[in-house]
Amino acid sequence: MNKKNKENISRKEALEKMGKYAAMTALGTFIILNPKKAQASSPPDPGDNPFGGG
Amino acid sequence: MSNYQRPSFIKKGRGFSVIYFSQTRKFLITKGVLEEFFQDTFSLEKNDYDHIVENLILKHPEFTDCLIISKSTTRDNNNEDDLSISPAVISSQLLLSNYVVEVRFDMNSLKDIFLSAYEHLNISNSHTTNYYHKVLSIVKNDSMHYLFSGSKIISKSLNKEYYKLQAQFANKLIEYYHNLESNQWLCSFHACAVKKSNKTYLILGDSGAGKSTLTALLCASGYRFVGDDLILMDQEFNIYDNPAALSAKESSWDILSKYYKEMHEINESNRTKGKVKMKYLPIHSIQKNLPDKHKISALFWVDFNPNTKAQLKPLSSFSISSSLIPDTWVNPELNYPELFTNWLIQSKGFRLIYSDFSSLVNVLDEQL
Repeated sequence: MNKKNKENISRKEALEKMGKYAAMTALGTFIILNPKKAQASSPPDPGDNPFGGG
Repeated sequence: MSNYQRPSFIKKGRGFSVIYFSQTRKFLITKGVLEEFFQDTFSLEKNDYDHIVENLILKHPEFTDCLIISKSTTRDNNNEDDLSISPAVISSQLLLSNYVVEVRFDMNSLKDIFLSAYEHLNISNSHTTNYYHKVLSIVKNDSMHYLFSGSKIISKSLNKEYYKLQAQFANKLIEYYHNLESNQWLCSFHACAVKKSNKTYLILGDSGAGKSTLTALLCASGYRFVGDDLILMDQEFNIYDNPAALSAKESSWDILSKYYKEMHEINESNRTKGKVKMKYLPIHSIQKNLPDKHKISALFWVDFNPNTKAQLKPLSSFSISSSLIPDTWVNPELNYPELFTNWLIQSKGFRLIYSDFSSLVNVLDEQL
């Protein structure tokens, strides 16, 4: 049985592809970005918390 | 072996790709080998994908937070709240389109903080029978602020993060202003927005870059005000008028007074930002605007530089994406991150450098 899924490449092919990325030393330009975790209006300036910590 | 997450989608921009990881809610913007790497590994079986990504992380541990699904990546905690809070006893009424919204507080300092930008919408108790009535309450205990709609808690935040609750409060008022009972927003921008000749511009920049001052000045020179500080966008990429008044720091009062006679009549707010005094300029009221929604034509990053004449420099799509995402809340539900990315990679943006306002208006009008 050698039923090959056209969508998924085989492990062998994957490892061959991995060879291409084996060095992975120069990744090119990349930036990992976090969008804001919650909607927020302008945060207060430093020291501007009328309610203290919490 | 760890549980490595796959990209939820990869969107190709001009010379770069935006890759989104839904479980860690992170965007990866990349040009070069990584872009190709994630495209190639996108359809691998789990074990192979994990094996390959493990190798990536060994060489580049900076991807740990992005790619490893931590067990603690859970939704907001839903612990029972200690609601030993005082009842809301201070009350104001705001008129927003078809709604009269009664806003209740349990202390005056909360009123100053939450209502300063909405004083112009205050109405007396009489003549409110023809409107829908809503009640929003803001109360606090030792650790948390709570926002209630009627008797239901709709949002809460730690006391030190009360500005997040301000945004939720602003959202509700924007929804009432536009006669929306509630809306699934696509994203919210920390930005101002103005419109002229059917073109709407989002004005962005670091805190203190002069976004609000510039917005006020443009609105005194033929631009229509859309909003200050918080701009909401829906799934069809419309942004909505924000009914809040524009916040003007003391350093801007002199120049704004030359353009707005109202500045002399507006009282200094009880609310300050640190030690900086504030006035709230209700530009929608001054311009007699009716609630409206708009499509963004371009994004401007404001950069005040006293040594340079006014100029607009086009930004690459890569720069726009990497500048906008960290300052934006993107709704993580449904396919919203993908919709947002589709909008983002085709957006036009400029760095707007200026030293004097009048030459800036000329530069902008040429752009129009």
